[in-house]
Amino acid sequence: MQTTASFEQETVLECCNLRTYIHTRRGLVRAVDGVDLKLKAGRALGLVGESGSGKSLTAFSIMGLIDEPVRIEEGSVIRLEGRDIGNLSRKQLAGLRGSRIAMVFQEPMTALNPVHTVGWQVGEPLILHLGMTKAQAKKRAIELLDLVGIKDAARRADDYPHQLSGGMRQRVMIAIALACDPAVLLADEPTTALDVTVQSQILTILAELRKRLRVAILLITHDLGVVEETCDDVAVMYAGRIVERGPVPEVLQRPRHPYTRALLASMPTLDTEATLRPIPGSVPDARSWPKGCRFASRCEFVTGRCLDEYPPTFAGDAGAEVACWLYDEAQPRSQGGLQR
Amino acid sequence: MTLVLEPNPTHDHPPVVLRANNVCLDYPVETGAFRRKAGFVRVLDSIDLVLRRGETLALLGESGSGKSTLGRILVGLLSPTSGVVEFHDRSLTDFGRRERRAYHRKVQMVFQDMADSLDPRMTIRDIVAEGPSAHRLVPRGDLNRLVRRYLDLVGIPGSALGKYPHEFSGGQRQRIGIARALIMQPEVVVADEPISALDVSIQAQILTLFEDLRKELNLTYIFITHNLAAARYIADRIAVLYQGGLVEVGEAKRLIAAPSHPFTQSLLSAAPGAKIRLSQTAPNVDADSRTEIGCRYRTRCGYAEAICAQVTPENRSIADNHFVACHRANDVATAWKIHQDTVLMHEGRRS
Repeated sequence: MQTTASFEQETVLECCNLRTYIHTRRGLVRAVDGVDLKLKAGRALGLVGESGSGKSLTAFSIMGLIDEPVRIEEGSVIRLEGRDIGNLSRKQLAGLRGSRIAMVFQEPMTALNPVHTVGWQVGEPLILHLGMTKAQAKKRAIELLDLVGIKDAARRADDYPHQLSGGMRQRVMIAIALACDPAVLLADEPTTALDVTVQSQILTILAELRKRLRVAILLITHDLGVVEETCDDVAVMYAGRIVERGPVPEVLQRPRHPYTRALLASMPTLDTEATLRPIPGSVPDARSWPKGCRFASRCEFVTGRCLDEYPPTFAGDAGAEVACWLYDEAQPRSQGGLQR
Repeated sequence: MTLVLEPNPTHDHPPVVLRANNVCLDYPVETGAFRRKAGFVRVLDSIDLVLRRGETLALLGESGSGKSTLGRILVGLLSPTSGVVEFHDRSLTDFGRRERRAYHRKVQMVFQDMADSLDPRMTIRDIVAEGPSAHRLVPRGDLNRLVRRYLDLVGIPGSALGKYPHEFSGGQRQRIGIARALIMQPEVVVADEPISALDVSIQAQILTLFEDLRKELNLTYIFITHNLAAARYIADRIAVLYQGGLVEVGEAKRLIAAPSHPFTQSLLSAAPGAKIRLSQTAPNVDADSRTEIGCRYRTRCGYAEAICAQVTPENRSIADNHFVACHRANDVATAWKIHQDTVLMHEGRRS
């Protein structure tokens, strides 16, 4: 971790009490329900959660890529480089997307346009946002393709997406996202569809580019192993809220929230003999979150208080924060608790 | 000559249930508007494999390695271009109608994506009852009771009988798919990526369910996966496929602890959280290097020598029940050992 230049610690993206609800005919789905996030320049934050936890919708909300019946609720704040972007018009948002903030999606084949060459697609944001000429854009596009590790970039630039493999396509997506040198890159499960060997190449490229371009990365994934490898900080999301956050080694080696613990215990590893302990039950319905802690029904440490009141966030040591009543210092802690 | 990769026969082993002998599969390559055959692609190349009663064998490989195709051949959904599949020491091609029917009942399959493999217009009861009713396993009147029993076995409540697949979560659908396979009272279950579409916490539920059912029903599994940790957890033996060929077969724990084919090592070191990091081979891995002669992996391999381009490596035994198709298997294994020792040394120094 470098703390050399002061601007490296500058917050480039901030969400306060982000709430994104889906207004369906069958009721209000409170999918993202009060998320606070802070992303610093050149740092990578892993947003971890299971499907339905709201992690992807958080990213789509930040990008403004949502439409009826999905709405960002009153009182939510999204700030990009100090500027509130929650209430911008479509046109103003379009000016920011692809230039200051960019996104890489899970499935590069559906995200790329099949009727244009990849060189054209990498060059497009350069023409739109930076006002380059076609020739300049083409030249820069080739440099960018080279930057993301595509060999023989000048020739590959004339290929269409279907001529490339999955890993190559994801590299192209990264090149497009980084074309205008954005402050923030959102990556939504960028390696989930790829083979492990290709996944590790893509993660390496992301890590290198982050250092070189000082771009802040929000990496959305369900894979804690991927977070361990690529991120500085991690936020664990459950049922629309962040339940635990902190520096990666701290959270992964000394998980505090029972959900984080259970998640780690339910993953088979390559070098331990521990038996798997699956998390019983399933995530509650987002149309009617329970009144208290949303993990209470699956938690082995549940108390009466957990069922009545949603826990506030308690600060732990080493920069970790956890939303769980077990860490309420004001209350005498029950014995037989978390110390294993 | 075929070298059959099976555990040392001198030991007292359970009988072989399924056997692949020199199984090859070619897909024709068609070109032009008239689909002229322009040649073929070898999808599976000389696969020799045995499956013994009660064991779990994991087929591990990247997408396109042929692991699912091999699974489909073993359940009889595809026929090999050459080579034989034997069920209880009899070739499938010798089976008559009756025997073939029995074989299809006794070797069942569980698929990756139950959203695609459960008919959305059928109720859960009809989906699970379809097999036993077609095979007349029980009298019509007993069907509902049987369906209930198997749904109960996989943890689906009886109230689900009249519901449709879309009313269930991914994990529950996977359970229904397992019930549909098990109600046929199979000997062998081939599970094709049964957990990869599921969330992490649900993956553990399904993995432990497979484990419990195996003990309870005395099943034999083939578990097709790209997830090394899951393979290590569930399998007794692991067979690693690379571009249609077996490159390494061995006992799960040993193979993960002492991988001896460069490809297996590369897979292991690419897994998130791996302790040993090998530089992943040239970005240009996407070029298809299927060749007639020589090792398929040589274009990505850090150990490749002249001989690798000239002679196709045979699967040979490097230890008890551990087979590797690599000319330099011993060097490769030693190199890994050194990496391991280095990591251990660093860890020791830190603590």
